[in-house]
Amino acid sequence: MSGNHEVGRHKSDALLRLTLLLVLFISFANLPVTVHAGSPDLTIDSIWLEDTSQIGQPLSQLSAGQSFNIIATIKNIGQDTASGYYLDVYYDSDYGRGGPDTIVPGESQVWYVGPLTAQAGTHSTTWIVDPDNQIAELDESNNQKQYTFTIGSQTTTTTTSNSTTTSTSETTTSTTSTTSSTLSSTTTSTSTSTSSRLDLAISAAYNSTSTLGFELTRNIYDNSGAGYMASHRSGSNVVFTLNDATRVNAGSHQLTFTDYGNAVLVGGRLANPTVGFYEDNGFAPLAVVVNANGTVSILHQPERTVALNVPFSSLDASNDYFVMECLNDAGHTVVILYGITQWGTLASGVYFDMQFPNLANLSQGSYVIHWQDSDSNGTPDPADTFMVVFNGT
Amino acid sequence: MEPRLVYALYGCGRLRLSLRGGIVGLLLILCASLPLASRVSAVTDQSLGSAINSAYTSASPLGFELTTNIYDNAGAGYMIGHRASGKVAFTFSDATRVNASNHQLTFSDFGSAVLVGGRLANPTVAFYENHGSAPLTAVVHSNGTISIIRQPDGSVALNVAFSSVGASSDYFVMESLNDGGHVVIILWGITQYGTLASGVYFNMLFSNLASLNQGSYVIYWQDSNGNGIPDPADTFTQVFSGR
Repeated sequence: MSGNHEVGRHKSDALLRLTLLLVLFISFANLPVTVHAGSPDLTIDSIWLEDTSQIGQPLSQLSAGQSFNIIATIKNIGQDTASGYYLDVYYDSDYGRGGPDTIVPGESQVWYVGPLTAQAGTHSTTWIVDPDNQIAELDESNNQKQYTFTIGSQTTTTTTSNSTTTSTSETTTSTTSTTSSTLSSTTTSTSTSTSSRLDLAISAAYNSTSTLGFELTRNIYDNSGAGYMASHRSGSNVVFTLNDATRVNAGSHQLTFTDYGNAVLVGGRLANPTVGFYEDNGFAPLAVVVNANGTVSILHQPERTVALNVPFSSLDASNDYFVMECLNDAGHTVVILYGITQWGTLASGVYFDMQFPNLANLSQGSYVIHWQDSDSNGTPDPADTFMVVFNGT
Repeated sequence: MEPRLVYALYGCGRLRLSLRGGIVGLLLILCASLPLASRVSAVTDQSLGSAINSAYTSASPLGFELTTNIYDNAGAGYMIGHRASGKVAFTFSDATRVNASNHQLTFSDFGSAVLVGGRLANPTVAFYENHGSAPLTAVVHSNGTISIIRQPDGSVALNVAFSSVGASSDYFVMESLNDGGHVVIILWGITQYGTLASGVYFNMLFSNLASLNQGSYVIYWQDSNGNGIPDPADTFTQVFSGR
């Protein structure tokens, strides 16, 4: 299946299909938001499959060729109304957007995508409510849920969600299998890079005779720094996004390295799910954690020490932090650059360009850099202040 | 008036304005009434490829004038990255490098310049268009269309409806001019997506500048692979070229 999905919504008292809203997927890095007591809190409550001929009836088995809908329940578990929220859905390499809509505290809303035609194999659907982080919520870490299922002789399902598990609200991953069947791992080929140096990684990737891949986000904001990185590659290169099923595993988002030997990833985990993959599996030197108290932490892996902890509200178009790091995925060099907001991602591109003639400055494997628009001209540029606040393996 | 059309007109998503012919016309009139300098040369016969080569290989620093919004600056990295050293980046608010009253470049500490963003996002582009020095100029019509007019003869290089351009297809301009002996290269899209596409295209052609043997181009970009962003696998069609 390819193309656009119809995203609709079931009201509790009536079936209502809303107008198709898709095509442009805008997934920011986390934008600075201010959370107040009484804020809403949007969450994906459940995801399940429905036979299109039996509306409301969950499917326990699904055969190839069968028509079905994917259902997701959105709930506001906060204390205030969320107005104008959007909802993004991915099904393998396809995506759609629903909204805007309003949801009051305690209300559940049922959305669906379909009808879809079942095809044999393993499929994954990911739902993200408030994908652009435009609504200040009590907990920003519970907005996404993934549901994986296999269509064959028996339908097996796995649901993965981001959830808050501790009082400090560190984001962790929990997995629930609804049948005894398990899905094959897609992460076995990745190795860590504790001994890598960013300078050597960049040099290796950019000087290699192998094609260099650039995985970009699907929004203009986070891609605004990509030109600085892409223009320095004079040899063969390919540019692609997360929905390129040939170059990115549609289920796990891991790079496939099909027609490229190394890669540069642009954008943070919410804008670029491949970054999320490497962070979640502990292969990226640094990982981002969104906290319920309105702060964001950057943790050094694997010991999970805090490299940075700042309030979202302290970041804006004149001040942000960005990450530069590298890892090794089964012999393939992967360089990652992203900011906490899109301004930081753009700043990372400017800084990359500044450092490219003298890569020896980047002798560590990972960096967190504070960018400040010190000349106040409204855009990251080389005359600004760039300060290394963390470096490590 | 859809918000996307506002982006198209102003190249800046933060603005919330309605597309009314009277207002747009007023803006254009104001732009046209800007004071003009006298040292700007007329459109030259130098090819764009030659102009780019001259600017990028010159021993003099190369200036990059950016806009002040992240949307239109998205394509700038593709242009800046190709200049190895001796470069300065600035915005139109830099009173040392841009004349604060008429927005003309001062060339105070740079010998050539690359301008990113269209006339409403980058007032220096408007200066060169209004002065007749830019080979092409944009004119917004109250009927919801935009024309790209060739200067000085006033012939129409392109006329399209705003509603036809956006995140999946757009047009962009690549052109050069000479300002008192200084090479000026200009790249802009009708919307911010076109400006980003101009950067992608610039990067694609940088190793083959000889192919840009005209002074100005209008290129149609189409997201033919449907991945939501301009990239080299998309379709780039030349719809106009001239001196």
